[in-house]
Amino acid sequence: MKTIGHHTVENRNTFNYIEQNGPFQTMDRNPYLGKGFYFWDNNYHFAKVWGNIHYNGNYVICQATLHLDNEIFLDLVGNRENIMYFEKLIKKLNRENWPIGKFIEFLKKKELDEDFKGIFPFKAIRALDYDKDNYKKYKFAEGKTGYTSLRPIFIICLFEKTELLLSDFKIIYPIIKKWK
Amino acid sequence: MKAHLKKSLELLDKYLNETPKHIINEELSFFDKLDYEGVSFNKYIELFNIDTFNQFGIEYVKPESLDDFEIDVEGVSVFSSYKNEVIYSHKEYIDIKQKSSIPVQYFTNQYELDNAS
Repeated sequence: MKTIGHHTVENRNTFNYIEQNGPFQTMDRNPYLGKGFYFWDNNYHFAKVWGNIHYNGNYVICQATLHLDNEIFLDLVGNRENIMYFEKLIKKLNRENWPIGKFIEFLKKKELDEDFKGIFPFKAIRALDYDKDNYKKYKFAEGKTGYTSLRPIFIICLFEKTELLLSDFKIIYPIIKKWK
Repeated sequence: MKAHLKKSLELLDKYLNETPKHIINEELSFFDKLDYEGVSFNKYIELFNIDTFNQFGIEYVKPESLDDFEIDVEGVSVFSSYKNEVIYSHKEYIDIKQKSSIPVQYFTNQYELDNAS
């Protein structure tokens, strides 16, 4: 599948560099989905929210097309088979207290072992960031308690930066004059 | 179930069933102890992408004494300490780096592994 990804970085007036070298690996010490290059799945709104919170409003938003083909993409949002598979992995390892990011790093490490090549064959992962502050509820029906969100936050982490995984990386905010 | 998912689960079974228990325990407990949590800079390695620093026009340096030290993650520099030594330093992070004085679990293991091989 293809989707639009939004990626927020601090604005240090290095627009040329950002477009030529982005996206950038997370500097977070404790990343949600392990080390990698983070995007919000088609969520310009939350990319701005993030920029306002983490960079005091001084940020750059980039956009890219993400190419997430089935066999390299672990989709913990819209693919029940993938979700059930991942839960099985967690249960088999008997470490249900580990955060998701730790599982991913452990499995990525095992994947480097030739004897276990294929144990975690993914290059990208998508998950729902269930953040109650940003999870706007919409009730399904009057008199019923069930609800859904029309503003879910899906995080996508690319484990590597390659043309196979992303294309058309460009700055979309702020709007700047094109440079040569 | 799709073939690649099935294969993944089979490989995990192979790992859990055919690897000696003490090795599995060692590998899992290594990750158990790996402290990604908290706010302290003292208990874990800091991984930063070199691209990120290039983006900000910041220089990074690796001490000559550690030239033979291999870092197995391409494009990533390490900022922490190993037995009070600087592993990978960065001018802008000098203050943070100097606070780091506790041996780092991941790096300790990795260093010993590299030296043993």
